[in-house]
Amino acid sequence: MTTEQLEQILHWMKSTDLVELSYKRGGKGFEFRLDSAAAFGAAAFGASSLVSIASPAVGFFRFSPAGAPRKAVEGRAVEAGQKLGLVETEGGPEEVTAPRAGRLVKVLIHEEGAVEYGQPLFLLSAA
Amino acid sequence: MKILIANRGEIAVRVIRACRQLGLKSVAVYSQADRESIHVALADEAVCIGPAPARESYLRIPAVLSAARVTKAEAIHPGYGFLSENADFAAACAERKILFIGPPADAIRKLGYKSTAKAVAREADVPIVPGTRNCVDAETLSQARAIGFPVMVKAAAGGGGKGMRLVRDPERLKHELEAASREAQAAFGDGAVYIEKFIDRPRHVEVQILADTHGNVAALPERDCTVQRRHQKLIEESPSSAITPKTRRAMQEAAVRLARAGRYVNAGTVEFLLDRGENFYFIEVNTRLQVEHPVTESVTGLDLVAEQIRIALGEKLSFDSKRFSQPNGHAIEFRINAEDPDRSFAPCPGTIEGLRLPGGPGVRVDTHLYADYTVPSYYDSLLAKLIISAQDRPTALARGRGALGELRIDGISTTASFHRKVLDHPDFISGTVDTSFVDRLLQEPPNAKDKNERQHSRTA
Repeated sequence: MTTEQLEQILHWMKSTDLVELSYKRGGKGFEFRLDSAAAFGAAAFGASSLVSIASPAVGFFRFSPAGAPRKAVEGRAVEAGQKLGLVETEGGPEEVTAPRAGRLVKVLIHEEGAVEYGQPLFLLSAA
Repeated sequence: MKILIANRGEIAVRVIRACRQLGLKSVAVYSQADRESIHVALADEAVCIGPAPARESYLRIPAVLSAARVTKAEAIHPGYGFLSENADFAAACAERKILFIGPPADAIRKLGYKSTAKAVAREADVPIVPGTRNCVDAETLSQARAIGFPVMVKAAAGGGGKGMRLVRDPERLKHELEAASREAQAAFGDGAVYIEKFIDRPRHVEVQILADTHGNVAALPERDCTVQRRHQKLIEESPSSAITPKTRRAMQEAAVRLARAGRYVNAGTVEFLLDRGENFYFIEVNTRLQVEHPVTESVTGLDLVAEQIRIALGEKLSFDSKRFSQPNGHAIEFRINAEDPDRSFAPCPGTIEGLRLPGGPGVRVDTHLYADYTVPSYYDSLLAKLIISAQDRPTALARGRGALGELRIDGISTTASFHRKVLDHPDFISGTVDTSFVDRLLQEPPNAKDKNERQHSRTA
């Protein structure tokens, strides 16, 4: 690949939401990656083994819907996909779920706290 | 009082400044791509509302309203673009008892859409381009004669030039109607066409209005926005070199009639096409603050954003509605976009490696730029507005040349080099341009002087 071709690809990438692009030659193939809300918080914690779980929206955070018990407690293990809370927005509630199994090392938010998009809510360690 | 600004870039900065001047708190909202944007730093508070794409952040009504809720903002200024002309957004604000700093939803629905606005214009006796709808029948020729040749045949479902035909010769009308109808059928699945008077080499002239909730409607001096490329304005000035005080008054009166008929409140702009005989025809209303509002501020001394906020708060206009109908001096705005005029204005986002802004008497720069700022690729390409004012047009042009010479934006291509060219063009200097000026200018072969200019702008 020439530098010129590479420049063209980089230029094109700037017009997309891609944050990663791999390209293999021998066995062909491609690999793309889109940015997700988690990236914002994650960046602040560098190469830590902890995963930051970020708010999917701007609004007020709640640990559970009215009447339901709170599951997300510091130190507790969680499963992949487990609901950790929700963000009340003007467009309805948006769920916060664990991206993978692990232990909640840190809870960074309190009940009914105002949160912005991408704000870290929990730190998760690999179980 | 706390105002959330549902916008970004230079206009967010402009509104923050107005808030500060009025002693009000400001809340910035931003997407993840705008974390380093200056409006985030300048506002009293800032909230991230979503990822980079506008439809997931600046255009997302629930996200903006949630941001207002968590920050306890009592009012929202929408700026221009994004949600500024969205009637549903204005209605959603009203439902939540949040002041929308713009017209009420009903006024947006009436005047913000071309078809309904034209109906209001007819009622209010505001001239529109003479024409007739869906009329491919035997009556067509007599109707076309009544409108007066040359006429344009246009597709009812159309846009982008498809199904459009210029007809100068009445003999050709039937043939061209059939051809346009076939083309429209192929392009839009609807062969309906209508006829409109052809306005030869028109100018684009618009009137700024301000209406309060007490029934006062002020029409301010016109802005001439004839220098545009594909309907994108590049240069705006006031007053227009093409109209007499009599036409100005007639246009202002028409704009006020339209505003009253549409029960309009807050700032708005009534756009007209102006033909060679100084006849003007209503095109559309922009139910918001315009990019080019500083031109009007320069020739009136008013602060339009502050007026907008006062109107939203239920106050009366701060001036007698007739007081600023005549321009005081001359003002020109040059839009500095992140676009390369040498590559058909292709957007060129990137990092500002060096920045030198011009100054001096009559020079105003509205911008969100700073050195090392990276212009994101997600949003429109406006980087800065250079607004020049002077007591007369020749002095304004001279100041404009000086300021564009001082301006340096390193790292990316901008439209500044294009503006330098325009300022040296005899048609612009004499004030005789029409809306096809930019296209013709771009086709002119560069002469030796242009080459020097281009080299200068590249190193600049």
